[in-house]
Amino acid sequence: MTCEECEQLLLDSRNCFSYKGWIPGVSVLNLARSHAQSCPACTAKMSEIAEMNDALDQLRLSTRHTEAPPAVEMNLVAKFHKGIRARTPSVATTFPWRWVWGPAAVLLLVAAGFVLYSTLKPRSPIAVHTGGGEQEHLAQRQLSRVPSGATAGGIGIEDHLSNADRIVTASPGGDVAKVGKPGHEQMRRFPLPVGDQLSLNGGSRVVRVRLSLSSLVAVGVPVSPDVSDRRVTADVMMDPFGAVVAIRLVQVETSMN
Amino acid sequence: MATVILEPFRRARAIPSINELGCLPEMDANDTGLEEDGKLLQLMIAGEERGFVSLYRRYQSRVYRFSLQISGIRHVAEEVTQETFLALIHAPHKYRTERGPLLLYLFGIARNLAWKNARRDRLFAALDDHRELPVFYVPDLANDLARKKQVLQVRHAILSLPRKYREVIVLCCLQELSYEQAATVVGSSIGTVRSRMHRAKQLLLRKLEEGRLTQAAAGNSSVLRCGL
Repeated sequence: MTCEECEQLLLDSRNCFSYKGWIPGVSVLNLARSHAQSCPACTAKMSEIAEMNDALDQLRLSTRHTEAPPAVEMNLVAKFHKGIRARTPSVATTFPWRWVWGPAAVLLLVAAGFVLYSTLKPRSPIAVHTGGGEQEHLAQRQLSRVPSGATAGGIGIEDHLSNADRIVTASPGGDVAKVGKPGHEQMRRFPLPVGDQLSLNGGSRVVRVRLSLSSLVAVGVPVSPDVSDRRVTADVMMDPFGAVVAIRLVQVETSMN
Repeated sequence: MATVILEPFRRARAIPSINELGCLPEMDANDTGLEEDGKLLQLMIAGEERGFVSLYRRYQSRVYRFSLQISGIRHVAEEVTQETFLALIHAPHKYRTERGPLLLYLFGIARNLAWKNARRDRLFAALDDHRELPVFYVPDLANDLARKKQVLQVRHAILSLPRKYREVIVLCCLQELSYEQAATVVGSSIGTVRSRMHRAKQLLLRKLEEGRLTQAAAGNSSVLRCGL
């Protein structure tokens, strides 16, 4: 055994607790000790190592009862309670807001879509039935005379129903509509709340529709309730945006059937 | 010439166990201890003060001593101990039982904090006279001045060791951890810990020798001064 090997063995020999389940063999230690007895340098080294190990043991034993000051525990307990309070907040703050944002956004989008739709949709529920070139020209010709009869609140329409069997009469401000005898050509004006001169200037189109008299109420024509079940054929003038600006009655049927 | 096997061999059953040899580690690292730690940790997570207090009282002295032995400064050791347990309070879920006993986890935190503190304050760059060494209580050796002096010398020598050697000496010799446990704390292999331990003891021996020579020289000079 060399002196280096002896020193290595002696240094590691005290680590009996340092390597779980392993210690240097007794025979190997005996060899090292026997070498140290015969070698003066290793004897000195052995005593130094023993002294160091003894000092380490003394140091370990001397600090065995050293503890942290009580103030540390007090601080930590206080911080523990603080941390617990921070980890368990009140019910109001634990409400899962992140689950609310999604539905709220969807609801907002639906509401915005509804508002947009109601703003942009056509204001007249009248379905388009027919539309014709000659009739459109006729309507435009008739409407060319409108300005003379325009009222302050809307547009007056001079309606010459030469071919109509029935005539609807109405006063500009009144709400009475009566069915007259055929052959009585009269000038009738139907003030409508919708439409204006600008929309007329911007272009329009005329369509022929068949609808009940009661539906005329929706576009502002005053109709007597007792004839509201009749159906009527009318030319409807619409502005470029689809809003009804004028109506000309063409034919009034006697009954719904 | 006989061939010497330097590698240790497996301890036979006839050889007394470590506990029987009288070098029983303080730490209870068996399954019961782990279970108890787990229960206390669960209590602590549930917000029970007694869970935390039990854990603290169980391990505070080990953590504090370890910090003190690493840093050598009392207030640093207090700070490190406090921060270690604060880390446990703030993130108890980071501890995994399969990684080992809770004490090793706490040692790992304390080690990191101690070195972080050292880097910040640059207090451990060199051993100086301002270092506060703890007051030792050795009842049976109260009057043994020579032994006291020897212990202080060892203490100084340990504190003057480089970081990687100091921590293995503290863990294995003063905290009585096995190489395996020390490797867990340090985050290296068992072989690395073993070689560092050997090197650390060599350095310690050299420093103690130097200290002895310095003292002898100082004694000689004082004798000479007295003679003059």
